[in-house]
Amino acid sequence: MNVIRRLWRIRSARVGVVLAVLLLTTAILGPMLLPLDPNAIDVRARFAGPSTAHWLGTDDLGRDTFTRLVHGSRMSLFIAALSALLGTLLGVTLGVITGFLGGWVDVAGMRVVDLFFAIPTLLVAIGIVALFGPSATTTILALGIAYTPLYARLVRGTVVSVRSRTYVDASRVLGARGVRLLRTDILPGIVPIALVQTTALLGFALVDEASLGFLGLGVQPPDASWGQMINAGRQFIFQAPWLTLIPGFAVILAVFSINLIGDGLRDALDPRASQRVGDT
Amino acid sequence: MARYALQRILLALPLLFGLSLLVFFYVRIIPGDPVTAMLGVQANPDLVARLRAQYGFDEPILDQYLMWLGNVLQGDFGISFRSRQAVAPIIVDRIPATLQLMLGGLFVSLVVAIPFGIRAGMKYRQRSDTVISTITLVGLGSPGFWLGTILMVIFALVLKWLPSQGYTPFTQDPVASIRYMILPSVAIGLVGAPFLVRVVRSTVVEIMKEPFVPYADARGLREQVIFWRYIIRNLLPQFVVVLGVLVGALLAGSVAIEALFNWPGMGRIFIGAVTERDYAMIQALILVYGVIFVVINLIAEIAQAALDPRIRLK
Repeated sequence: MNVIRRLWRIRSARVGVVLAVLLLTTAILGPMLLPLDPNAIDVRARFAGPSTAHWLGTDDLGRDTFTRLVHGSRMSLFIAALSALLGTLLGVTLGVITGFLGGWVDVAGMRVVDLFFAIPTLLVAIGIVALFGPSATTTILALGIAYTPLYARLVRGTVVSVRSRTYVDASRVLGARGVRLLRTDILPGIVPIALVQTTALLGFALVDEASLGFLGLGVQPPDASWGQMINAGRQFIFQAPWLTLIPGFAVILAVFSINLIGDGLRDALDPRASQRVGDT
Repeated sequence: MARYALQRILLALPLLFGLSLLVFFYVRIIPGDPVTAMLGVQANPDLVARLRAQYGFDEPILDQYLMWLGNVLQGDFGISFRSRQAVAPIIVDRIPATLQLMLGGLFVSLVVAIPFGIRAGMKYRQRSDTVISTITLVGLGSPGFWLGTILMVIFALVLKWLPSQGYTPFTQDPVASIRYMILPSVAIGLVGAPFLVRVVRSTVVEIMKEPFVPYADARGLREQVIFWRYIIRNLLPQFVVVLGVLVGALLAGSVAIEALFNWPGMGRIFIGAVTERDYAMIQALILVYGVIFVVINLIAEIAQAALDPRIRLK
């Protein structure tokens, strides 16, 4: 609770939280409240500009852009959340196992992680998409796996440093071993870093989902996601620039709010650094 | 210094070896098998068997790997599943365009990020820092291909200052080549810049906290002298290593930028290969991307040590 209160005290983080709540509400409730079907085709209303019937105009098939944007936000945020979650689960598991056990498990695990470091993240993701074929599920899987190495390395480093703290030694002296030591002493020590890192992953995942969608390797039509909408709008950039611009703004807004929260969290969790926006 | 460089190079070798293993097994974990994936399930069984034999999928796995590695080391990356042509020459043709785009993007990133990063770091928690940091945060969320689309609309279609899409090799016509590369380079460079601004800013903040800065100030050195002799001098080595990471981000971003600007680099054939499930091509491309990335990071590490004796003497 203390952390949340401290986070709320940081102005930029407050802005981020408000934006994020707005976006989440839109994504969760929006599709239920909007009267139009995101995939309803109306050829008579192709490329219509903004009007009272179509707030943000329509696309090449006469589909309502605002409705698709709202439905797309559900898809994009869902994909981002699940891939960040998958990356977190895999990364924390791998990092804790290697860092806690040490020895050859550590050496072997970290060498495998090093390998993935030799290939830029998005390219790893594209390679995984090639194996399973493009879809929303593949996007989650591909991004989650692609984020794992960085996360695992970070967690491992933290576990190694936490393991040698005196309070862990004290616990050992009192007879704590294995799972108990892990649960009561080591895992709480990595929570702050994991929180910040998972928040960062959410931001990466939103941009990467958009990239995969743009390349035609993400969510497939007729389903809407922000990336898919940018890709679909690209062919009509002169006739209807809003088809590309609007979903792009949505991505930027979402990532901006997440980064504000992430930077705020970092400060809120680290009492020594009373720093503000934009620290690396 | 030479010893340190040699040591770094030797450390990179196992990484390259591991990369080759990873890429080799990549094709072998395809659900089903690659030949069926390529031809479809209704394919003629005789043809499947013949192709399996031709690609060597029937040999023991170790033999397959050794044979494949031997070929790769001789520059033979196999045969495309689709066009049935050798993969290597197709990729080699595309490398210069991708590297040219990388250089352009790197240049833009540096020119944008260094002054703003230093400014934000030196004016830490003051007004110009807040402004720069906020813009940076917005920039972090802007996909490169989206920025690219906007740049294309403004500068190519509305103002007609620059060509919208295409490529001319630098050796053929340098002026045209540079005109073609400006928009994609700016688009990709602006993806890397926010990341770099944050790193430069926090590095400068750290340097300002070092005891030698207030000491220099106490000695009465002018601000400019402190800036060049202490801040820049200490920023440089840190910076070189970040460049290695930056190149990774730029390489990844280049795939979408190449698609947008119809730039004939490796990214174009990568996407083509993924859509067509041409695993021989994907495998080779991932390997080439990986090697480029590892080599650039290696150069960055050695350059860092050359600039900062504390590192090579550690």
